[in-house]
Amino acid sequence: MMSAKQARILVIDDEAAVRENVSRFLRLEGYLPMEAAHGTQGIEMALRTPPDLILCDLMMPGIDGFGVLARLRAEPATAGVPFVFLTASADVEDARVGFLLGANEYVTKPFNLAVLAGIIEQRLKAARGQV
Amino acid sequence: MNDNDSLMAAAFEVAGIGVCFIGEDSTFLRVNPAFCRMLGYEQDELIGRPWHMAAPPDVAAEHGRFLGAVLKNSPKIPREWRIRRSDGSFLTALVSARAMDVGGGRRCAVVTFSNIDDRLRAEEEVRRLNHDLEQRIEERTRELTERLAQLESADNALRRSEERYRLVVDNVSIGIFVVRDAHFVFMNPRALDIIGYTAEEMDGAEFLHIVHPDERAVVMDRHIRRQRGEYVDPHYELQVMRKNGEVVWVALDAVLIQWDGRPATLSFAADITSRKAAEAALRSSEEQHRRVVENVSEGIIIVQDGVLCYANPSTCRISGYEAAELCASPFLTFVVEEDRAKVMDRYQRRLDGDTTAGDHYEFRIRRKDGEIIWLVISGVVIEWGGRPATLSFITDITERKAQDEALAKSEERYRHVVDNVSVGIIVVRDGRFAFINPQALAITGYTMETMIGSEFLPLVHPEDRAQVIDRHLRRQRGEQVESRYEFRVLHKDGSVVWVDLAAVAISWDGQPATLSFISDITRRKAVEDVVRRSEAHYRSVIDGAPVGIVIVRGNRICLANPAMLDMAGFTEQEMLALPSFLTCVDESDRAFMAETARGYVDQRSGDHMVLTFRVRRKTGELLWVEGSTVQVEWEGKQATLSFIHDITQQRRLEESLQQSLGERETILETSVVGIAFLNADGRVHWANKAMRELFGVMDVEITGRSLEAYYPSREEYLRVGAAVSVAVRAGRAFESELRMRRGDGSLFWANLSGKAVNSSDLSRGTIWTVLDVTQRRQAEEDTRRALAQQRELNELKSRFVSMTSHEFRTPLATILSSAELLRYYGDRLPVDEKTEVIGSIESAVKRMTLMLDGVLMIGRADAGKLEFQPGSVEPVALVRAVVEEAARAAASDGSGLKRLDFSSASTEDSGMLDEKLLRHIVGNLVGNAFKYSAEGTPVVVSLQCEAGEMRLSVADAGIGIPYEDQARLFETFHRASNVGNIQGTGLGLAIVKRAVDLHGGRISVESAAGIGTRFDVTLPLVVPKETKES
Repeated sequence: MMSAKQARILVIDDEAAVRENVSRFLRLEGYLPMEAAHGTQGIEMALRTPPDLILCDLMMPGIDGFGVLARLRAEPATAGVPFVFLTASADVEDARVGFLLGANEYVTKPFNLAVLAGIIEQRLKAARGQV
Repeated sequence: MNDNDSLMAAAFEVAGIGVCFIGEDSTFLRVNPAFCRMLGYEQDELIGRPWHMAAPPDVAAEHGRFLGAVLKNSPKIPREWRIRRSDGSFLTALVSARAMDVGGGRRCAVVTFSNIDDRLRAEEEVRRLNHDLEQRIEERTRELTERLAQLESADNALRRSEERYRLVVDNVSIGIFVVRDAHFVFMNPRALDIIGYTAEEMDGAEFLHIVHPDERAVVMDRHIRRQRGEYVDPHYELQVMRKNGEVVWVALDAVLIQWDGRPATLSFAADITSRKAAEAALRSSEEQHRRVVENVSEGIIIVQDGVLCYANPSTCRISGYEAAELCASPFLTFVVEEDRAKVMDRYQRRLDGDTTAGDHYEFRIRRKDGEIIWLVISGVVIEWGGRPATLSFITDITERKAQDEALAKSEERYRHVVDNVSVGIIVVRDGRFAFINPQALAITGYTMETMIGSEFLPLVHPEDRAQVIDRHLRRQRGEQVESRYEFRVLHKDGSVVWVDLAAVAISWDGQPATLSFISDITRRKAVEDVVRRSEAHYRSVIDGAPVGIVIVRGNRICLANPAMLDMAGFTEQEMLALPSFLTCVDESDRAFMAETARGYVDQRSGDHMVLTFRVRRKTGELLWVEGSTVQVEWEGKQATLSFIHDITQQRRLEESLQQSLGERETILETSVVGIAFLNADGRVHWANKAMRELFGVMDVEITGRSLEAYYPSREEYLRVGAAVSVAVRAGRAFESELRMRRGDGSLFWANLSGKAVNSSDLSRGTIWTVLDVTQRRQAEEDTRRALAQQRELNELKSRFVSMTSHEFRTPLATILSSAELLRYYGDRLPVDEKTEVIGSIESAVKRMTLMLDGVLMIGRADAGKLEFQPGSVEPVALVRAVVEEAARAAASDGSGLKRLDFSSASTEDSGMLDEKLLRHIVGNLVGNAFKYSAEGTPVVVSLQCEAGEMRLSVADAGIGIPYEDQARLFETFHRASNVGNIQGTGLGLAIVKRAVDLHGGRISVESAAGIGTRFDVTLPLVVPKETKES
């Protein structure tokens, strides 16, 4: 089913229902999901145990998605972790800023799980290839 | 009868075809047996009878023409005739005919008839068989033909269905008529109705009869052109005359048709009188408008992209160009070179919306005839063809400019005269010198600088001061004072100078003053003295004196010096021979001269008598002179000695001064712009009519006063004053738009511009123009307001779009991911997880529903459809329940726990409230308090019900609401600037506000960013009567 080492994916979203559904989906797909309910918690978890990929909401109270990305890109341990935005903002300007800060993907809500699965697989493969 | 004839006769008798001979009298001459059989008559029943007994009536005429042509030898081809038999039945025969001479110059027609009925029947039979054979095909074809036929022209359709035709034509609301050979052959009821005649009256009537006389030529022309085959517009409008004489406008659509086989015109007529009347009214209003623009005496032009797009006739008259010539070249080409830069600058600034570009300015253009004229232009920016252009009014002010120049010249002349006149001129105001000319200075020996502003009295000889003061006081009291007197002046060098002074009261810079003409009469005084002592001794002095000297005794002139002779234009001999000195005086002055002289002589006074009068020279010329007379003894007898000064120049100067003042005043007084002169101290010296009307004040109310009262406030007056002072000192004009106050206290927008009369001498005061620009300002204001409203609506729209975008996408993401989890992984999900996933769909849907409810509720409230349904409610219990519900919801969404502090005090258990609305109020306020405050901070809710009121207060120590957001707090979709990513729709407080309003209650907020927020809501527990009814 999966390689010896299961890929660890960090899900940061203040919206509990979305976060739980994404984790559930990841588990069923054979990944190892971790959940953070806000930006600060997400940064903490990522720095403690750098994940293989991060799925992050954009608009959150406190530190928002941009803040999380900027912080993690500045840390050597997490600078190269694939980072995917999951956001309800349809503003293309937000997407542009996200990419400028170093995001790898920008997925707008609502999204198809199949599409998300494809993106995660492809990003993980690319990251492994680089190593 | 020869053989041939016999043969022919036999053939005639036995032939199978019918033959008959028809005479020129149309009777049968001979008939053969076959003809008789064919017609079913005996031979003698036919001979001598008219031939048309055998012709059906409907074709008799046609047959007649045929026979007539035959008799005239015209060759005729055989043709088919229907023939009537004796039994009334008909048969068809092929007929051929030729003419034949029967002797005696008479002719007859030989006509042969062959019966083709059988052949026709046979053909018919064949056709019928064919018909039968092809029936199947034809049936289909007929169906199609029928359908086609239905679609054929109205003409055909009408012919086919008499019934339908009548129904339609008689009831149609359009008049229908047919004209053939210029006569009506058909009219439907509506057509008759339009012209007010009955069908009987119109039967066969001429078409032109009903056409309005003015239109007949046009109608005839159309008719003739159509007959010639030219294309004529089928649609046209004309006036027709009703039977009762009224004129009706009708619109006609005419088509050519065949009517009974002949060309005719079928027309459809609609009564358009009322439309025409409306058009006429419109035209006349447009006409009036146009007439105003075309006839207004001002020029009106529209300039776009530097080129004239419109010029009214006055502009053409002023410029001497045709409108087409004006519109062909850039506007600037008409402006004289020196003024182009100025005009271009103004034009550009005006287009750029610079309101200080000024409403009026002047420039010169070169007329077509080369003449250069001055124009004043005032313009506004308008839309022309969807793009900006300037609409300007121009007035030819060349004449006014010429007057201005004349005025300037006249003033220059005046100055020249004043500076060069041989008499001294001074103006004294408040006892001080306000003006003094070089001659007057020469008399005193002082310089201009020391004299202006110095006191007058110290200059007067101490012995004469009492007299001068006395005169002054008496004049001030309004007593009649001799305008002329003599006194002594102290010269700078200490010498005494005798002066003669003539004073008039004038207004100088708005204040009473005395204008005096002074002459040094020291020499004259000396001469007078000398003469008194020894005439003979001083003869030479007299002869050399520059003043006229004359001695009169009785009526006789005893002595006249050369100066006097020169003045009067006589030789000494002539002069001495005159019957009286009065002979030299102008006729109109003689009576008063004689009178005054007599009175003076009778008094035997030693005083001088000074008179101003006119001398009529021998040459007829008039001189104004001033005579100073004293009584002397001459050769032992009483006589008068007079000194005559020529003051003509001085008089002219006075008159010219008066006139130039009058001219200036007239020009300024009639200007439409408010104009005022202000003294250096800011008081109004003079204001024109337009100015007085603008402020709604009388002359006396404004003259001599400051303009402060016409400013909205003293601060404003001082502010403008300071700005004016700066501009004026720099030699610039001050211009501004500001509010000013009328006499009745109302405010208006004024364009104010001021300038120093003479920028190098500010004591000359300032000149001001004021224009009422309220209307223009008002229009600008309205536009700004409309734009602001538009911007607000746009903002609301974009707030709504961004809110719905985010707030819908989030629950949709939950729903979609849940649905896909169940679809693709449903078999691998444990039951409890499945339940949880389904639950998340339900709560997302609930969240969206709540939001939609909110939007709908706002929509209903804004449309006035949100209902207020009060019922008996126990506020304390309800509020407590809602608060606890909100606290639970807040705890479950993970935003952290807060310390809830709920307290209530109540003297009233229940009240009339709308439970649903109250839930919204409490739920939203408490929900916000939890949502916008940090974990562990307190949320304090307190409720009081007493004295018929419910008072609820909700306070938190959260992020607060920035001051600048508080004003728009209750606006739909508006959220404070500091909410960050905290979710929200911007609807909650908008709903709260509407719910409170429906209760007839009040809501207020106290908040500071970063400190906290407190809302206070007061609702009446007893429903106000009017609310209940609504």
